[in-house]
Amino acid sequence: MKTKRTLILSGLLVMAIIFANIPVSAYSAMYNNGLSLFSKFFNMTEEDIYKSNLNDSAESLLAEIKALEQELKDDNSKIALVPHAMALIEKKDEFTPEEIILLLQDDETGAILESILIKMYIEKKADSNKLLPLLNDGKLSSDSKDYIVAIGDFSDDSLTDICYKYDNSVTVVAMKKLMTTNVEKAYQFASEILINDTKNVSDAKLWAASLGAGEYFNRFSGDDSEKKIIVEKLKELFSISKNEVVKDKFIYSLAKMNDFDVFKYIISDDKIDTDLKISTIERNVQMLVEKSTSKTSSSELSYIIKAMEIHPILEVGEALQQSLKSRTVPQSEELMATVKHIENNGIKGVFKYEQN
Amino acid sequence: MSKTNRFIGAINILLALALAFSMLAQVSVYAYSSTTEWKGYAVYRDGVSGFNSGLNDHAALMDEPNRTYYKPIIHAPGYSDPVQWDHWDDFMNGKKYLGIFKPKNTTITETVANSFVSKARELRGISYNVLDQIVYSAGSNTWVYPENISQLRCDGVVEYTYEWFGYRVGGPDNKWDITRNLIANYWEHSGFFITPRKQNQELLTKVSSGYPD
Repeated sequence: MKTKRTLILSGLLVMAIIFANIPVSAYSAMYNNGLSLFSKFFNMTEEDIYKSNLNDSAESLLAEIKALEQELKDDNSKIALVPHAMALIEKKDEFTPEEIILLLQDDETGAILESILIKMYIEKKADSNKLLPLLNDGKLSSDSKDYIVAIGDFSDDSLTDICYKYDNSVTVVAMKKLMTTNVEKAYQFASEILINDTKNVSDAKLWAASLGAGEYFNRFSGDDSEKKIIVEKLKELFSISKNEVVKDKFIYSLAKMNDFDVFKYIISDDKIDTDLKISTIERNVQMLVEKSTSKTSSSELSYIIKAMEIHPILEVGEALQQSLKSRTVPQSEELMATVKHIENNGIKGVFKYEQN
Repeated sequence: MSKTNRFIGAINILLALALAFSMLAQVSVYAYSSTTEWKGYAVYRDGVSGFNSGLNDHAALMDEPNRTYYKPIIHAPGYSDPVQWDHWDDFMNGKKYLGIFKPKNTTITETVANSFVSKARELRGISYNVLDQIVYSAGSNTWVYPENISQLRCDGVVEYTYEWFGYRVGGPDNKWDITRNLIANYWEHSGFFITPRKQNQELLTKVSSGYPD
């Protein structure tokens, strides 16, 4: 009898050890998802999964991805399907462009399969313009629409049309491309939006316009009076915008203009928080080094000091030190304290904004 | 007491010790705490399932000193959600926590942390792409600026932020910088060459198994 009880106790202890070593999330995963289709991939590396999928036919791999995607309810777990995706993309020649578009329109096609199909279509060098009607498709995810614009081969005119026609994230993605391929066209759109009344303009268009303006004034000095109007509009938009993401973008675009007067506004305005000021300092580090080595007025120097107290950059500190030695800047205890602060807390500047 | 019972009793004591030890091991992962500020560090949780061989993980950056702050992390949550600040529970999503990480051979000072956090913030609003860490159009620029990026994956947010400041995460010797506008560098950050799992298991230094408290 006693032996039986101790044996039962042993069994219970063994079970308890097993349960204690399975994470709670495993139970919820098993309960919520089952993940039965995934079980064959456990303990396989991404490379193994990819290679094994390469042996499947395009049709069966497509069916498997559809089934797996349906099983993965959680959107941020879909990264698990990347090896499958890469294998299917390699089989792009087994699909015609028309078949791909039909699949994109299919209600059963999930977000990851959409991404795969778009990539296949573009890699086949099929006509990107035939994907444009899909931007109006209510079924296609907004990420997929962005992806079409981001990797599609579109003319500057098509990209400009997208900027005007839509009021969502594709507007911004189209502008991101346009400002690198044709900055004048990007600026034309930006100035048209920003110089006029913006009361009824969507956040997406305002974001896109600010990008175009920032890029243009980063590369060209442009028309002075027009620049002043745009700078003032971006400042105004920052102060009135309720969209916390788009609001930031106005400051980044202003900061990209590498204009010391704009820099002074950002560094000294209390409504602009520290992160945004740091991004501004980083985008203007070359200008700060140059200002620190040249004959700089006390007033200008005070903004550099303020900036370095917020975010110390070693190269600016070195430039200031040199200027102190050669007496090209007004000497002050505050400046010497700033140089010390930079020495103790500074980091190397990133000059990537200056190397285009 | 028979010899058999004594033997089983001894086995039970060993089993009880094993149970206590394994429970302690589980608890230690969750109960570890630190007074260090975690701003700018990367945090990971597992992905598809809680099994040890879960298929992949999820990455985020701490944008606040610890997880008790309002929206202490920034990440690319997945399809239909752009890069955003988020609540700790939304990052965890009921999955298994993996720990706190930083770039190799890096000391995250206050100034460095501020740089990471402000750069990551510049990525907010960028939509999600699962196939590659990053999707961008940078024309003939030497570098890829935040305003050139159209889409990011969760590990792309971490990779871009650290590598912008020269802290290498992944990729071969002369192609590791995701912020360099070169096809070769883009290629090395596509597909599954780098994944959140590779980042936390091979490419970054694990600082702690504990939560960022």
